Amino acid sequence: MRRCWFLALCLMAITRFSHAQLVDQSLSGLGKTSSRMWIELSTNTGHKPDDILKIKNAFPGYHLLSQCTGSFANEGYTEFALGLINEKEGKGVYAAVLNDPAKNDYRVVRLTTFAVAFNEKGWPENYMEVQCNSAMLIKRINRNLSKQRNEAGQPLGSLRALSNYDSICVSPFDKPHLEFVCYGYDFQKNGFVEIGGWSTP
Amino acid sequence: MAQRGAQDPFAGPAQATQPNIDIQFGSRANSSALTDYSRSVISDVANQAGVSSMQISSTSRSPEDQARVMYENLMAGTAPVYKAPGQAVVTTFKNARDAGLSAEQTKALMASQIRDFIDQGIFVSNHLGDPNVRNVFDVAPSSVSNPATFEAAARANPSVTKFLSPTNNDPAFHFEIVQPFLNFLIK
Repeated sequence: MRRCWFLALCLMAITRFSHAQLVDQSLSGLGKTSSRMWIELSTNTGHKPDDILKIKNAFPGYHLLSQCTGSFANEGYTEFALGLINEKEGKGVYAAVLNDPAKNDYRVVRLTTFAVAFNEKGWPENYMEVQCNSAMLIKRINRNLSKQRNEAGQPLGSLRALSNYDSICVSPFDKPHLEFVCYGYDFQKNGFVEIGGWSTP
Repeated sequence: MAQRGAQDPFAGPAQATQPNIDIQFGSRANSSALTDYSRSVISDVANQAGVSSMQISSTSRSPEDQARVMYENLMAGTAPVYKAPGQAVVTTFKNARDAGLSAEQTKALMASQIRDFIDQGIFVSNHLGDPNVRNVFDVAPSSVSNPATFEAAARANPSVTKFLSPTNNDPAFHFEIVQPFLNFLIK
């Protein structure tokens, strides 16, 4: 019994340490987090700093708080999903940066823009997060969701993969009862469309 | 979308102008989680809108309740994908299970982490919080006789810290009311 509580205390210490793995999205940490995210984006993708700077300049006044890479509309190309906040204007945006192979350039597509309020502790009222999920992961999540119900017995949500390309799942600020809403590229509409989402109990 | 209350943090519980609002509680709602202050605010909103009755469909969950719900889902293998803060709690569950801790110890660790997050201003669930600090609850839109007027009255009430409705894609009338400081001390 004593050993168990010692282990619990050790785990509690690890747990507190693991908080550092969360991205600091507080008002005081926005600048640092954003700088780190842009550098990570450059180093993780091998894109030239000039290219990254061009993308950064498409969002003046915004801090980058979450990013991931995938192939959303162009097979074999590295494309980005970004979550950004402008604390001075109280605005947020989730966006995709798509390759434009014909022009050897990038195209910024805004998935959703929304108001951002900060709570009493200086954090956004929702944790900003983007995930780049493969079509197979979308299908696995959907299969798991079909088995899950909340306490009222309602389904947690559903997803559909439009193609074999990667999808973008974002933590929505304008639908805070949902944990994630996902977007897939619709080649017929030549743009992103919602492909579902889910809540958590 | 969100409204910031211009309330006096040292004010005592507000008094309802008409205390005859019939407030019912759904099966997932805990009547003790609605503070007197919030009851008076919601009564003011109802009076403003000419609404005489409503049903509260959901109330705030304590860190212990949240840990219990997550623990049960994780044990059943039916936990959905959470954002990073929720995933950190899931990792705590896995670490505790791998270390051979009991269910109670595991839930206590998870609740402790959820509480730490709240202290930092991070919420694993938007129904999480100490009702005596920030009272969170949902009103079923179907239970309100005049939803549009009720929504307008809620948005206009300075004591309502945050309000979401079906027009914000929330399935319910979602209220968040920061409790007056003095009220918190009295509790």
